[in-house]
Amino acid sequence: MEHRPDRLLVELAAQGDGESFTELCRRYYGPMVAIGHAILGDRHLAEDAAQEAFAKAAVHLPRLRQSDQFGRWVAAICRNEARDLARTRRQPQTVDETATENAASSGGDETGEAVKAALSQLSPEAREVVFLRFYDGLSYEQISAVLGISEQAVNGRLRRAKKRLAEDLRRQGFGEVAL
Amino acid sequence: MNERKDERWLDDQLRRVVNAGRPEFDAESWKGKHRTEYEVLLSRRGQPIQSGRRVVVAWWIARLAIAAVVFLAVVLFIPGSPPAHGPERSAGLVADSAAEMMTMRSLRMAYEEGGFDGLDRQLQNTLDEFGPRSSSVSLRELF
Repeated sequence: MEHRPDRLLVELAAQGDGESFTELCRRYYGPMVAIGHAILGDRHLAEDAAQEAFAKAAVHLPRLRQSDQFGRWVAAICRNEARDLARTRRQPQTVDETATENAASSGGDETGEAVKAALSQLSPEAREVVFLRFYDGLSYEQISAVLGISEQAVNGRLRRAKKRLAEDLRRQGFGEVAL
Repeated sequence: MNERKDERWLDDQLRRVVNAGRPEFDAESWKGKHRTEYEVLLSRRGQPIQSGRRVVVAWWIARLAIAAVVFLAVVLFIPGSPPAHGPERSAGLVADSAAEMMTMRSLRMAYEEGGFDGLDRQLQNTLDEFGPRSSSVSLRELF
């Protein structure tokens, strides 16, 4: 089951195979939580958004015309879910405490705060690609499947985001960061 | 600090700030929480094929229909005379005449031998052999 391509799993799931759908959820849970986290700034809310996205996907799966585009399709649903959640909870779009606790516990602190602030200044698209890359160490290929863009485009988007972060950090007094 | 070191430093910082631990999908909990949606998914078991595949099947039916029309045109409107030499048989033919090539039995045989590709070959062979080059093909050859 784990080695089956998305296309096959989607086709089986669309014909009512629950196990195939569960495998798709397992496969895309990490990226969906990362996308939700980039928007909501909260790990738990991000998990809620990801799970809601899968629930919608379960109902609307027959509408998916290109079965190899499941990642991209469910990512779009997840973004909408996360934005809805952000609106209803009036949550500011920042990086959350859960994540920054990691920074603090590892001696992060001031640097962690600065990086967090810089991340908050990025555009949603740039923040999303940074989260996908660093949340769970996704490969360019996996990010490309979720965003529906080429690996080169992922690389370009990530580079621009990091450049922007470096500029921001320099402005905050981390003078040596130059990309 | 050089650019490479800076990039590594930034990557480390991002990993520390962004990485909140690998999220694991708890299938059972999700199924319990979204029972209705999951049941909608399960309820599709045994239903006819989905729209995308339906389009593919419709496309094949259209191809079969076109091939049948071409075949009928050949049979009905083109007078034949006995050829000097019999038509050369292509590799992979599963029927002896054009009429037989288009019977359900031979189409099924072609499909069983090679799936849709086999069926396509069969239709293509029929068209190649009895398609519109006609004057050299007689009714006798066709049947």
